Amino acid sequence: MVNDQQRRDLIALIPRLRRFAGALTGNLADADDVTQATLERAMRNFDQWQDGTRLDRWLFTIARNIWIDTRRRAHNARGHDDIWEMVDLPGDDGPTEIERRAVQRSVRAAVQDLPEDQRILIATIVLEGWSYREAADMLNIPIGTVMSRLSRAKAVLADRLAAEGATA
Amino acid sequence: MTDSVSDEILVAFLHGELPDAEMARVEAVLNTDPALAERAAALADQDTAIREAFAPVLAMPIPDRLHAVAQGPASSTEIVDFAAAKARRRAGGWGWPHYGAMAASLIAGVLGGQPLWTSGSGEDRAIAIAAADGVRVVDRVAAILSTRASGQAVPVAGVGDLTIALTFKTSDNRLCRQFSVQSRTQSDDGVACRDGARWSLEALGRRPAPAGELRTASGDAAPAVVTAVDGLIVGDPLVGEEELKALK
Repeated sequence: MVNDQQRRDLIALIPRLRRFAGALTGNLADADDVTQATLERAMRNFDQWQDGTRLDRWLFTIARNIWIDTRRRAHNARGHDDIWEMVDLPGDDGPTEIERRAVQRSVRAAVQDLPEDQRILIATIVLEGWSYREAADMLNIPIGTVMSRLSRAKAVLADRLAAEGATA
Repeated sequence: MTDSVSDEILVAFLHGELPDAEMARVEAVLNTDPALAERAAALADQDTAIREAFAPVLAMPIPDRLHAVAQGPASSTEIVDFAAAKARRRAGGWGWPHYGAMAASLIAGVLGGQPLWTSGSGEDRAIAIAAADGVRVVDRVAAILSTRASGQAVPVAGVGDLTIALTFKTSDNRLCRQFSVQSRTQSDDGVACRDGARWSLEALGRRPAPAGELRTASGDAAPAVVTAVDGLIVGDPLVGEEELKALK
């Protein structure tokens, strides 16, 4: 049974869950589907979460599994359009703001073109701040593999963004 | 030729993931190798750029369908507790003093967040937005928090009437204010703390608009906000002259 506090904890994690799912799926519509399925599974199986361990780690692991299952079934139905336009922050539309949004779009597109096994390390380590050990445990790979994949991902991003004249 | 530092080692260094001796070795090389230092800075900036690129999703309103799933049948008030989310985020190591400040802001990007939105849609209705370094109150609301005394309702176009309920100091001497934004149908309560020219949002919660007149005692707010204020406040709330002085 899920108690009030646990429900609140789940709700508080939704924004980060959507961001994480968005980094994996490449678009917000799929991200919300993954997020919804994750929450449903978490609500159903809450007794499998061990109190005292981190709820966010458990949820993100579920999200990743759901994403993998979904992709197997749907073989990438929606593709990687940047339909993140709607997520652009409120603010004035001066030249700086337009430039900033353009950079953000380039960065998202570059992340989304990475291979999946690199993209998930960007999502967990860079966006979520997991330790290499935590990422290695979730993905069931050696920590050395985390290091090499992540640095490969960052090198590719650096080259591409430099070529596009975006930051880094 | 100096000791070599591969990209792989450099990235792990920036994430504080190397053994102490190796952290020290890389740091020493960085101090003598400007090209490598430049590469390190670019790789660190890239992490910030990635966080910024994905930050907007944190500030989006949560679709009802997602909220409904987590809410389950026994519905209670919508609550988001930024303070708790912050307390959970990783306290990471960092071996390079030059990048110490940046590390703090990078790690702070890991933060659960949700904006305060009133009913309706449109970007101009947000009163808080998420950026890589946390969730902050939008400028026009920040301007009110920076100057107005408690107790007056100030209209904010597209959002509602904003009333500051409480002004207080924290144990680390930050100035914080609890406030409510009242629209026709609901009341959003928040607590924000001043951080230079900005106000960072510590907690927020939403409840249906109270019937009758608006009461702004600290006990009359969404539970997440009451809890956050209890956790932050040191001493008595600042009132009257004390409050105005603290705002200067």
